[in-house]
Amino acid sequence: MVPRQHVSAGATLVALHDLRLIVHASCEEASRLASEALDRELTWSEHWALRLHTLLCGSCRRMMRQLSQLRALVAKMPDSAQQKLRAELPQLSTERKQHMKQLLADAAQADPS
Amino acid sequence: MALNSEPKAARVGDPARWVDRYGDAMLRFALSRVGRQEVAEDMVQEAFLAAWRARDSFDGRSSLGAWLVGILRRKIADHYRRVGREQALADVEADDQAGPLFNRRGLWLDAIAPWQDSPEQLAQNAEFWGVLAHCLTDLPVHLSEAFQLREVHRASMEDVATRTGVTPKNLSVRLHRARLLLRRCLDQKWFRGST
Repeated sequence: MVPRQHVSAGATLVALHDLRLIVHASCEEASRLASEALDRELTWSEHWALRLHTLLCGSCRRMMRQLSQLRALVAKMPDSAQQKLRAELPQLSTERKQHMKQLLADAAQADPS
Repeated sequence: MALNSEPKAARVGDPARWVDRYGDAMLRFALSRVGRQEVAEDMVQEAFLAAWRARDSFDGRSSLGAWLVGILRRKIADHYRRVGREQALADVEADDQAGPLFNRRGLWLDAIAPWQDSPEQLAQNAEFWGVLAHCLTDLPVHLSEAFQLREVHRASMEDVATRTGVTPKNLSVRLHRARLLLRRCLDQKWFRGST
């Protein structure tokens, strides 16, 4: 007599979820996995879901390649472009800064050290 | 002893100079956490005033900038408590007006075309870097911040999550969205625009 396999309901659910991901990953899920693959190691089922999906989907194959290219490119960003980025970051307006300085000056006058 | 006898005001310096020196960086810190410019400006202002009142507690062990950001962080935590974390995150994400990339079934709304230029060619092209900087600036602040820390400054996931004040799961969501929006922007403004 063959011993019965004891598989918990939880493990079955996880396996079903993995199977669903592998067989039915949408482009949205595939792109999420392609992005996460840049930040951590994918699980076995995630890895195969992405492999299978990109095998069948040209858009996702190109998206995945472009995300890696994007990473490689951004890593080479020259200082001039980084400076441009910094210059375009949000700032406090001159008026708002003046207002804050005035409030601080008032506070300092009311409560000198 | 020398440090303790130093007048307290000398250690924190002239508060008007805080505004010039740290104001913009503090605004960006607040903006990526509260989402709305007016709220972020109010947070920074409150933090400066609280810092002035608490100036005696600055012991010079951390930098003045780090001390000010610590106070700002507490102001933002108070704000989260007042409005609720859900609302606060919704405010941050309301900045994202780029719209959906996928349809209801999770398929691309626009098919993805190949990029012709090689990364080596692109890296040499000053014009390309201008477009990339423009696309990065166009991203919602919370996405741009996460992306730049991770990809420009090559910080670890743990570091970026701590510095942006979100969970690792939330950071993954932000990076996913940032990468896809940036990819689309480059596609529209460079790869398809230039050919």
